[in-house]
Amino acid sequence: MIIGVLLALVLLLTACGGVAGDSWAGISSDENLIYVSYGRRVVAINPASGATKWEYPDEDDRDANFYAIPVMDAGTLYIGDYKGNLHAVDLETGKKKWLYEPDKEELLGPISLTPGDRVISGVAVDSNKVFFGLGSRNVVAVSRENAEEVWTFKTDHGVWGTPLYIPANAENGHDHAVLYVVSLDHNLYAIDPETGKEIWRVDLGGAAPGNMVYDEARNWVYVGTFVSELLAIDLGSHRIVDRYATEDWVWGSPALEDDILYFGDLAGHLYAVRITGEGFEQEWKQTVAEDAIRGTPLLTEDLVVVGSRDKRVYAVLKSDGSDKWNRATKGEVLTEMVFVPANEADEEVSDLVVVGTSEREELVIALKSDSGDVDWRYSDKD
Amino acid sequence: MLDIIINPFITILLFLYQVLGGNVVLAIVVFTILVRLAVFPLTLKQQRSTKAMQELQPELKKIQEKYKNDRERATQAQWELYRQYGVNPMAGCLPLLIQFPILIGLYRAIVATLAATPLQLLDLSGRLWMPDLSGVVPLNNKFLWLNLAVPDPLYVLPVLVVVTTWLQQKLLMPSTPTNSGDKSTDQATAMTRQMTTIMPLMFGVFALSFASGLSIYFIASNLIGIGQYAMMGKIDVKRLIGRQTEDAPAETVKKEAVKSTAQAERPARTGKAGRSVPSRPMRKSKREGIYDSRAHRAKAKGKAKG
Repeated sequence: MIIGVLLALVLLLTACGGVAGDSWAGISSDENLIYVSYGRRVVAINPASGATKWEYPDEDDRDANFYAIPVMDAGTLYIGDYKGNLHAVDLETGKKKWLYEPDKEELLGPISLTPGDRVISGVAVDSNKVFFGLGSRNVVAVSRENAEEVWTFKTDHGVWGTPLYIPANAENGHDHAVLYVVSLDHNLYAIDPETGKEIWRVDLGGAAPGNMVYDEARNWVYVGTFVSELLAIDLGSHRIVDRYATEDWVWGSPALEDDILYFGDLAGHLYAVRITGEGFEQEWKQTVAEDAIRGTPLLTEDLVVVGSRDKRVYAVLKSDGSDKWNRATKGEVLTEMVFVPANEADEEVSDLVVVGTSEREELVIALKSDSGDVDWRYSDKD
Repeated sequence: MLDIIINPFITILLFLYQVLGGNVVLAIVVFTILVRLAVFPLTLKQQRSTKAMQELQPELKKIQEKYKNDRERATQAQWELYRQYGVNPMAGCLPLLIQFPILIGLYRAIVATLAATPLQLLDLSGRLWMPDLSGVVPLNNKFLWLNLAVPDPLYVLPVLVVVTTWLQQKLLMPSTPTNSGDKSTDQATAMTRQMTTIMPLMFGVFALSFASGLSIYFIASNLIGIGQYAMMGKIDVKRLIGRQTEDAPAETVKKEAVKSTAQAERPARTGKAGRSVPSRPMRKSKREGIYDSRAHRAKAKGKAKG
């Protein structure tokens, strides 16, 4: 009996304690604004000052949580929520264009045959559809016109990485457009975006929770897995062509520049790996952080910048991975990062690295890329 | 600090999942059985201690009444009573304290391995003692109509959690008198009854809001608990179906309490320090279905001497 009471209390404490929320903020940008999703809202922020331009949804309609990466296309922001819905928001005004809500087979009152789901991934778009993964399993395609479901592709586990849409391109063997999806069920799927049918799949050997990076020159994608590997998959031959063993799980997608992949692992290591004709070749490897590097590294002219769960942002030299600067933050840094170039007319202003933290009073922080000094902070506290 | 418990639990759960053909429910059930077996000696010790303390309640109340204006003497008399019957009032707490982190570890291991949210999955990293198990992370969360990482949409599991929790409590809780005539005893009885109602409902609410994999654990744990005590012959099915009148044992307890208070004033009857033979109040009516081995041994010893 007493055990029961204590366990109940612990459950309550566990539910209430720890890092707030179920995930970290989703951050992305276009040439005008930075978009941040966290908790009950999505905000558009001025990249120069950190001032809020708009918030979505309106205060009375905030009944779902947002943690996915906002994706912008043709004047519309697309984002999924933790009720399994997809929102299309006007980029200019921050007002709802449409809302996709999955069908629920309801039996009686709140009793339903369909378990609730979450949208953790970002979206991919083609000319008339939006594609996104669901937290527990499956990929859904929704019409951009009327928010109606076009098809559902079944996977055996969640799809947390943003799908990759590659339009038809005869030069690299894509006779028709293909949608690529990695899943926690260990597979990379090639799907026909029109019909939702599987074209082929590759077993990655482990869960792949992050995004893929497309290398157009080789027609390869790179993706990290939970069996501590970075894989290169040839989309033409549908097979893994190279693999690089890491010290720990790889969640974030690599950043690709000049045939070098920069990526971190969940033990705090940062890697620079060259893609060669003979396979991956390590340029350098550094133990940068004391805890997980979850996000994709951000590349500036001469630096590689990463955030860590140890509540720090680190900048190392691209050339050898040696320290340039690091900055303590109030919360864990697990989000993706955004680069805001300086205004060329104003010599006083430097390039900014914008990153999110798990602490609401410092939900977004802009650091000067050359020194790591704080330029502005955005607080999520009402 | 809990990582010392959580990390091996996660590793064991993932290992079971791997060797049991990727069946997450089976892994949770086997895991629960293993944990319950591991803590069984502690559970048994705690049960015995709780029972012994319960049986001393009438005596303790008498002492409290007798020395209601002298707390120091009341405490002295209580400790004398504990010494006389070889009961340590703290003995029930130690096994409980040891079991407590184990239960939290179990709960956290199940939630972490089902990894419903990115933070939960991130929390799994660095916890595996066998790196080879990385290949099975995260667990396949599909079972029948359920997504084990989210609550059951049909509410079947929350109902089963409530029913099995209630059943376990009803079958395992020692019977309490409905109307003892003593105000404090009646209050304690009322509280016990309230707990028997509130606890299953509370767990039901948890089952409504947490991953259904956790509900599987609650149900398995309750059923295994019932099975465990059934095998020990400590379950009274009559009480469950309401065939036993609860006034009779109350009467017994009251009468015996009067007798034993007088005995408590006398020195202990056995000369074996710290392990004295309980006198009559330690015995329970057979109808209560609880077998007191110490009383039984004492009786046998008495017969042998006589």
